[in-house]
Amino acid sequence: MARAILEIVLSLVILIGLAPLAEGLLRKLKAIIHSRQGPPIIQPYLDIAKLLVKEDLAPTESWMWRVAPALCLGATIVVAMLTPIGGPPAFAFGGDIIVFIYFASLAAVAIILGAFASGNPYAYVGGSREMMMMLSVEPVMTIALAVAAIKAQTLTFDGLMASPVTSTPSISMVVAGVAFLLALQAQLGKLPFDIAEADQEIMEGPFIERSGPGFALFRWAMHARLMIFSAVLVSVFVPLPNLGIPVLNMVLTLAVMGVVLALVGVVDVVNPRLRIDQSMAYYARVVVFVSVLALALAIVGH
Amino acid sequence: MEPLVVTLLVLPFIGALVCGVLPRGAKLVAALVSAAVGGLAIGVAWGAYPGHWAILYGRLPWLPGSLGETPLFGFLIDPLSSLMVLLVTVVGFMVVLYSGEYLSAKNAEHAYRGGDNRYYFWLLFFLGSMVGLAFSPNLLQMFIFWEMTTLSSWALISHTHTNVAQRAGMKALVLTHVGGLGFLIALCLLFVFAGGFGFESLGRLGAGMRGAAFILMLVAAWAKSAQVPFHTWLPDAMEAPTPISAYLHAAAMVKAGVYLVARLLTSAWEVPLYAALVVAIMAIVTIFMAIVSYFRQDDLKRLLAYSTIAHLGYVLVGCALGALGSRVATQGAILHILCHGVAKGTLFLCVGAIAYGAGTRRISQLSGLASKMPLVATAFIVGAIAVTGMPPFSTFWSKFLIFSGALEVSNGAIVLVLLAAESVISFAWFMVVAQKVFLGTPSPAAAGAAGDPPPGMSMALVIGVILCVAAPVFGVPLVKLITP
Amino acid sequence: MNPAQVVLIGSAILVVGAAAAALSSRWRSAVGALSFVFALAASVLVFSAGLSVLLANRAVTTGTLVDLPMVGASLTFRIDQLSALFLLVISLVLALTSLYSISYITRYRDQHLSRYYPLLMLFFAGVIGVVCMADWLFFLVFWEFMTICSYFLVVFEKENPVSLRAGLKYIIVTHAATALMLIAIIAVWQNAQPHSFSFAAAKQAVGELAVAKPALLHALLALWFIAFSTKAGVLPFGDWLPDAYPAAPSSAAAAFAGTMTNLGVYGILRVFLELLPVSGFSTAWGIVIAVFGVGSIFVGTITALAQDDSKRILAFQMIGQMGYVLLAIGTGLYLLPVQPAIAMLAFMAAVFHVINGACYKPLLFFNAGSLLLRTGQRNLNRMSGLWAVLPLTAITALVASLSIAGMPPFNGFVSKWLIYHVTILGAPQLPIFVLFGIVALFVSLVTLAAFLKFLGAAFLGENMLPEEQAKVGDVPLAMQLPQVVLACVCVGFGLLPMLPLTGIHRAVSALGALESAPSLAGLVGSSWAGLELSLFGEQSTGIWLPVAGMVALVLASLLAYGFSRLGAAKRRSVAVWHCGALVDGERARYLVVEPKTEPATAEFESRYQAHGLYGAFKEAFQSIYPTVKLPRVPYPRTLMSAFDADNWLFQPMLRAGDWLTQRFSRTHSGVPQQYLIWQLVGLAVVLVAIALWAR
Repeated sequence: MARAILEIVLSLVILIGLAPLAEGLLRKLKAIIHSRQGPPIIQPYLDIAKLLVKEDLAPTESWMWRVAPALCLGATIVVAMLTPIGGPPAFAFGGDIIVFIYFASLAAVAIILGAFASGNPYAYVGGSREMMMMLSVEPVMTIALAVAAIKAQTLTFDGLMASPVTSTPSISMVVAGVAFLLALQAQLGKLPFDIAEADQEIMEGPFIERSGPGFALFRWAMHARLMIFSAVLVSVFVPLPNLGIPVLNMVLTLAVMGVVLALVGVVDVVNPRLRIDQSMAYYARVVVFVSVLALALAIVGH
Repeated sequence: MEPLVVTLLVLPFIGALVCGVLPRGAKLVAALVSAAVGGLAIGVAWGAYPGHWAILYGRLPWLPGSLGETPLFGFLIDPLSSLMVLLVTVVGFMVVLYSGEYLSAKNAEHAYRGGDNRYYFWLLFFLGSMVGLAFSPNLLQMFIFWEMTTLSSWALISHTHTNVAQRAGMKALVLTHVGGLGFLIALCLLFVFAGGFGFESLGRLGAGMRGAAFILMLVAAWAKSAQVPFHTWLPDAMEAPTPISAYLHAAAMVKAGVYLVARLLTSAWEVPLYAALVVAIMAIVTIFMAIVSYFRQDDLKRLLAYSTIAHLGYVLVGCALGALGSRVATQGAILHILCHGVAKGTLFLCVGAIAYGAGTRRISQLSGLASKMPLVATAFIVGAIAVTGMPPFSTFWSKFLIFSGALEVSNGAIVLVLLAAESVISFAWFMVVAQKVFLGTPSPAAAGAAGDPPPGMSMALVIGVILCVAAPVFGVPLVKLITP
Repeated sequence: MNPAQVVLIGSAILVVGAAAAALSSRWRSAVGALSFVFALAASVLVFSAGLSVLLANRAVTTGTLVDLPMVGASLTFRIDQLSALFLLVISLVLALTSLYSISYITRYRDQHLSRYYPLLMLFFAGVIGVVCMADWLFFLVFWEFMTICSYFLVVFEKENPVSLRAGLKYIIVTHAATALMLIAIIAVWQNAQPHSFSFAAAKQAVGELAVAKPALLHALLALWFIAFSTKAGVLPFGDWLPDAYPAAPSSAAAAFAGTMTNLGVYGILRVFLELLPVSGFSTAWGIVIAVFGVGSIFVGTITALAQDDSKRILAFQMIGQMGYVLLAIGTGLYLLPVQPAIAMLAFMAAVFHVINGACYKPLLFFNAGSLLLRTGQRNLNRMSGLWAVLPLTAITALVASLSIAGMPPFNGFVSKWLIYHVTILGAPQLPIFVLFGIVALFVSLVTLAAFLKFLGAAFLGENMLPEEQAKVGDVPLAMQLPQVVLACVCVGFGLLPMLPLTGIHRAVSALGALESAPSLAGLVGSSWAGLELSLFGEQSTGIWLPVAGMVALVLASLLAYGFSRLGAAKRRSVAVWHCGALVDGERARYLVVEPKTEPATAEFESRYQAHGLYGAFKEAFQSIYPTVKLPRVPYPRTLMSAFDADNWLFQPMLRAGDWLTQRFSRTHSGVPQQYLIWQLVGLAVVLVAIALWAR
């Protein structure tokens, strides 16, 4: 019991607690590429702290409006508990891959409902785009995870992390990993797929009416996505050797996650934003050509 | 038993005479007589159930040979004739009850003034003839009553004496009567070659002669039951007052033809295969002729007439399947006589009520009648879904038996599929029509209509609705006893 | 008295109630309550009977009520575990619908209630009859009885041409489907020895057909499948559904959604699990059914996204949800010969999804009805912000929406979770099932999108109702209560899935498709806290502990909320910020409407209309649900003129007769010499004849 709690706390500290730091590092990377000095890497923490004390402006009395941020971060925390970091996730006894996928969408649902609750037309546009991005990215992620599940003959993270599928390289897993990586950019809301928030266009879309603590929670949840999805990518699809000691596994995973996030950051910097229909077409191609290929390979046993 | 049966036959004729001469009150006499006849018929059917009774009288001394000693006239009371008599008398009572108010100057479609004596004379005359026909123990008596019904049909179709009505009456008379000649010739053949008029005497004929006699009688039956190619008189006969259409041209007279066929096929003799095939194929052709004609009818009564033609085709299909070896199909066909009779009778009475209230029977002019005439709407819709075979209403059971029988004979699946298709199409069209006429926004004709019809007519409709549900309840025990 | 007789009494109460309601329908305010009393009585009886059968785990029967030995049919109420399970659902929907109707139906001021309550109760009597039959003939009778009653409920608004069209389409399509079923049951009857319509005889006949005439059996199964999937609303046969359900009053639509559509699945289970022996037929039909299921999931749900009518969204969603059920059944059938345990799990998932559907689908129709009652609108483009006015309806709608979208911890999630497991992992032999499972998972998100649209448009945003109407508050209590009850069931089944699954396991085992059904513990684990699947041997292949997950979610959310209050930020109400644009009173200039929609009225201009959501996605799939125009069949003129015997037979004969007599009459000329000549000729002829004869 105590061990379980310890594991949960540890994974939360890494995936949630360190998430703003990851965002800070990404900003720093972006600044370096832009040849500017950039903010300090703890800037995201400072932003969140600042938001906590700012006035909480509410354009509506709706109950949904107030619940949404807490629900979003809450669901994200549960997702973090279900996320493997080099080893089985801390909360693996409570849910499997499908539960993971659904809790991840629950966080998005909270964002969208919160957006709709505001009554702001830009928030509607943002919510609508958020949903459409989810619709285009979800199949890619699902199929990639299904490839792993089929090869490991289980949909639990426990079994998946224990099976050789995640530690030995195979063609199908590589292809699936590529697909997942392609999906990551959109999952994290980074350019060229930050269509839902699109600061310059619809002013943070779903969050346009947000200020103060509610916004802080949303921001943190968005940062946590960076950690969670890159952790899944690395843990499941990158065939890292099992070092025998869970903490070492975790550290190795974190290191590779850093590389993945750097890659995401670079793509973010050098690309302009796509339109929603373009990105949907893009992911449709990814689904058809990459994900299904991975699936086919997995089924024939490669 | 015997006096009851004799009264059952004689009473309508006495009533007819009384109605013919009474200066006033014909409708009351007719109602009393038909009610009495209906009660008697139920009593007789109840009493005879489940046996076969034959009561025979009289002979024709001038007919020589083996017939000389056999009585020629009388009553044959068995499940088949009981069923037919029940149908004829019960619907007869409904129609007489209905006519009392329908034939009045208040009728919005056609104000009836006078002519009651004539009307009720022929109506009761017809009722008596039908009873005689149904109880006939042999083909000779059946032929005599057969022609009597033809005659009353002629008189009643032309009841209004308009030009069109007279032409229609004449057409019906000529077509059914010319067909009836086939019956007569067949009788001659039977007399000469089989030496008797019994239903089973066909079996005593040689193979070729038997086929010829059967086909000749079949022609008569086709003409009477308005089957292809003699179907053309029935839609024109819709010039008759609506109760007459309900009675003669849906429930009773047209059933005489199929009754004859059913009678022949359930008598102990081997039906030649080709004869059964002819019956089946012509019946299916008729059914599809009728269904194609549905879509062009604007007059509700003509639509119902075509539907009647199709359903008589069903009975013949059932009979033919029975002849090919399916007992269930025979039972279904005979049950269909009853079930279709009450359902179609109800539908006609509804159309009469619509015409009575709204002054028109045109589908294109009617819409949204339900709010004005809830009872008529209910009765019509019940009748429509009953006649098209929606369970649990009457016709479903009979159609179902015919369908089941179809699979009992070889290649019957084709018949089954064709009939099922017809059933669905006719259901669809009846729903289209029922919706058009009763639901929707009221049309001018509907908005100007009076409400539900007067009590007598309404009562007839209620009886009809009840029968639409209950007909199988007393029909099934009767047909259960029928063996081919 | 055994439970079957209790159900019989329950149905009788409904029939009596229908008569009573018909007689008292003049008193508009009383008839609803009266009907509810009857409905409640029947519901309690039926529920207790169903429950006792499930608890006893044994089928019961009344004696034969009506016997038709001539065709080998008999009317008997027989309740086995599957019937009992459906009876539980039916009785719940019956009571709630009747209760909801009391207030809801007051909306239709111009319609006579004799066309509502009696038919509703007869409809339920028919539904109960269908699940209690063990004889195909009477099954069909009750089936059509139910259909015809539901038709009249669909055309309840009899002046509305849209309703009438929908009703017509509905009744014709379903009647045609029933005709197909009729053919199938007659064919099976004919092959039973002795001829009989009973389920037992049909089972034996189907078993023999499978060996003797496989082609015929395939045809019959196809007929049955089409008939049942038409009712269930599986595309393409269920095309009537998106028209008919919105046309019916919401309460009636809820009744249909909770009972009638599910009976299509009931029928499929009876045919494919009970009648059909485990054989190559199961494998083949498993694939067919799964394909239809996935087709419905995909097309139905994605089309739902494009709807702007609250009830049409639901109708298309029902098609999609039925697709999930069929996918599960198909997977199960496919696996039945090779992996019976996983097949069993698939069937349980299917039945569970049906039961869940019977909770959230009526609930959603209730929600739509409440919206309709309070706003007079079904068009989502013209609604907004009703949370403030209808808070309870809003919360129940949220529960229902998340349930149907399969979000944890609601009931829809559990059944979908099972379906994903059996499809993705269960059938590695035929990889197409993996793809089906992934499509199902993806489309589940589309469902979510559709319901976010529904929630967002109807309940969120600025309140559309004027002050005086908003003050009226939520819908009447009689409408609130059913919504709350169903929402609670959605949550309850989501958190305690073992409760329904125990009953479902009994029901599916009783169908006898599996010789020895695996125990429930062997399938989903023995813990009441959640489900643990081990599809292949010992290793766990899936796990979901709803309570633990929920506790975690609630704690985490509270933690997050507590964190957000650390700074003790002040709250302040402000107006919506239109990016600095001046909003002239109620009017804003940001209007995002796609060109095809109707023009927005002035008071809604500042809103984003529901139609605008997901534009790009809808565009990508806009041709997925094509409207097929039926070709006009030309009237067969030549054929009809061939049938016009008057024209070519009788009239010419008459004319010929006329002509002949005319000719003949010319001999009568009045000239004596001519008569003399005729006499001479005649004499000559006679003489010749005699001469010839004498020779």
